[in-house]
Amino acid sequence: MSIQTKLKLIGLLPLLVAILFGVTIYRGQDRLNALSQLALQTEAMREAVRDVRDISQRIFATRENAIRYDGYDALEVVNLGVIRLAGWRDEPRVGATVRELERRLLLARIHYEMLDGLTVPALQWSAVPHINTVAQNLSSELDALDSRLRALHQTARLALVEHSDQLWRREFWLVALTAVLVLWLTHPLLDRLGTALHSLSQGTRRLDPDGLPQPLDLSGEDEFGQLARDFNAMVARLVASEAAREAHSRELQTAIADLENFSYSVSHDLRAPLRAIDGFIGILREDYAPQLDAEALRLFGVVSANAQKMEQLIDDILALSRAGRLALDWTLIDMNALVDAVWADLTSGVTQRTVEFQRDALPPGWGDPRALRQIWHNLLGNALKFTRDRDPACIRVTAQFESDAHTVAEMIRYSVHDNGAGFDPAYASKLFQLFQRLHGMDEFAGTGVGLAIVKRFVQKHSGSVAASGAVNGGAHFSFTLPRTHTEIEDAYDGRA
Amino acid sequence: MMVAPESMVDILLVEDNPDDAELALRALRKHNLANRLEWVKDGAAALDFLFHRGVYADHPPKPLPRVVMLDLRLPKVDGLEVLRAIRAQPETRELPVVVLTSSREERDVVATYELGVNSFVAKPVAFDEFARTVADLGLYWVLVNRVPPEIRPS
Repeated sequence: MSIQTKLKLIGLLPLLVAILFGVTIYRGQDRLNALSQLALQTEAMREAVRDVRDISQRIFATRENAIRYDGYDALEVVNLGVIRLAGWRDEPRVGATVRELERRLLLARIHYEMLDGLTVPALQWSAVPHINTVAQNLSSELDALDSRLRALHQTARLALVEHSDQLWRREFWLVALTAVLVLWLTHPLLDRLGTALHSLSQGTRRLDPDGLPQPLDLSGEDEFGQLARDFNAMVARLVASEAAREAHSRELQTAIADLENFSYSVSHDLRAPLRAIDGFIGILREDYAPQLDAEALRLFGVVSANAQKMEQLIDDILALSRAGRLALDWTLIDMNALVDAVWADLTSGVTQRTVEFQRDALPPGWGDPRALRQIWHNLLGNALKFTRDRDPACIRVTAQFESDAHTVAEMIRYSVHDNGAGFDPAYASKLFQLFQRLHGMDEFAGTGVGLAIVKRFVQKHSGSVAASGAVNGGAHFSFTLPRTHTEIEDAYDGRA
Repeated sequence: MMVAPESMVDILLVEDNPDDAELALRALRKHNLANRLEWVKDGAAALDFLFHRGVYADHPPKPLPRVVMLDLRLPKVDGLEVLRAIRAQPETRELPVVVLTSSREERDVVATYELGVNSFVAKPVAFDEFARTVADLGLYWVLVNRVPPEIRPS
């Protein structure tokens, strides 16, 4: 049975007892009223009996005719009282007295009438002794009536007191019994509440060595039992999902390890055949030059150049792989100094070109110095490469603040503008994909990895990349970085 | 102990790829550095040679070479293991070891330097660069560099 039902039932019990209490009080009060009424009435009847006695004595003494009707009235009062007492005739302690009262009243009436009759003046002389007898008889009957009425009065008063005591005693026991019953019924419930709450508060905080909650040891069919079962089901789901997550994590670790082994193999094993191709071509060109004509030497040159291009590809793929694996080392970077250093690096060997380089004052950014150096190197390198045919070439670096639409984090957008060959905006989305190039190899050299590396690094910084441009209209490449390191962590948390 | 000069080895080349070995030998030969060169094809053979074991046990003990050119990816015992074994033995602890490998991975550079390599050289793919690099290495370690007499009595 649920605790709610039990509480409802226990709450219902006092209600029932209250109704019972009311009913018994009501009925007991009825009885009390009746007894009180009886006492009052007998008192009034005794009064009337005393009146009858007084009147009869005055009649006897004075033969006064005028007051004899008062005697009948008083007797009628007693008579009405006796009629009202008819309801008590079946009561065990009162019934006999009532019946006796009726009989005595009848006799008293007869004697009074006789007395009344004897007072007729005409009969006075002959009935003097007789009248004495009648007066004596009446008096004795009135005494009997009075004594019965007194007894009845006292009985009523005693019964009243006794009944009142009994009533209140009964009510007291009723209330006391109810209180004990409620306590007796509530105790196991309170006990259950206490122990269940204790084991809930202790059990839900208990963790196993892996930091997972433990199942609760709490049985029962009530709400606590249900709660414990739900909690245990939740713990089971948590354990299962944790196990699945760990398995997934292990798979991921294996995959990463495989990938590292793969890139290591690529790094090492793919170069060896290339070296052999280029090496033995080199031997051929050195040792057999006299036997080879110009075309043969040119063809060997093509083979050799391709081998070296393939090496460049391998290096770029490895660089991309490393970009993905790089564990970021967050510091606040002076972008002005970094951009100037990268630019100086890129242009150190280029002297015959006219390049107008303009760098705005850039705000410092949070990030990994190696990654950001690579990002600037690739973007500025591209700008330099694709403005090859411009005179003068104009390259401009700018920055502005903006907020990320997804994470609402404050971002800084760094941009590189150039007036170079540009690209068809229809293919802008392909720019940052691996090996995607929008220019032929004979136009501009490259492997199509540089912007993919930029994108990988920027994504690791929770930023985004963008490009716009037009054919022969220059290009604009930009990337964003969060303004503060904490916002980066928030962004990571939000995506995790 | 007298050792015939012609039995002395200047360079121990540990290289499993015969093409790379041939290119290296050709580059060294051009500078007359290939005469006193021993070429082994795996790490186990390199250790056998250095510690006079296995197929080298019967030969009269040769003095240590002036330099070991060691590839990292080797059959049986890989280059890092060979380097570790060399550095672990008192008689070879100071032996100059040059890692000559295709790898450009930073972790390889770090690992070999931690084991006390004397030099780490990535093999260039371009033939002329490769030839020049190997020849420069041979010239430097065999002709220019000096080693303590306990490694190699001159």
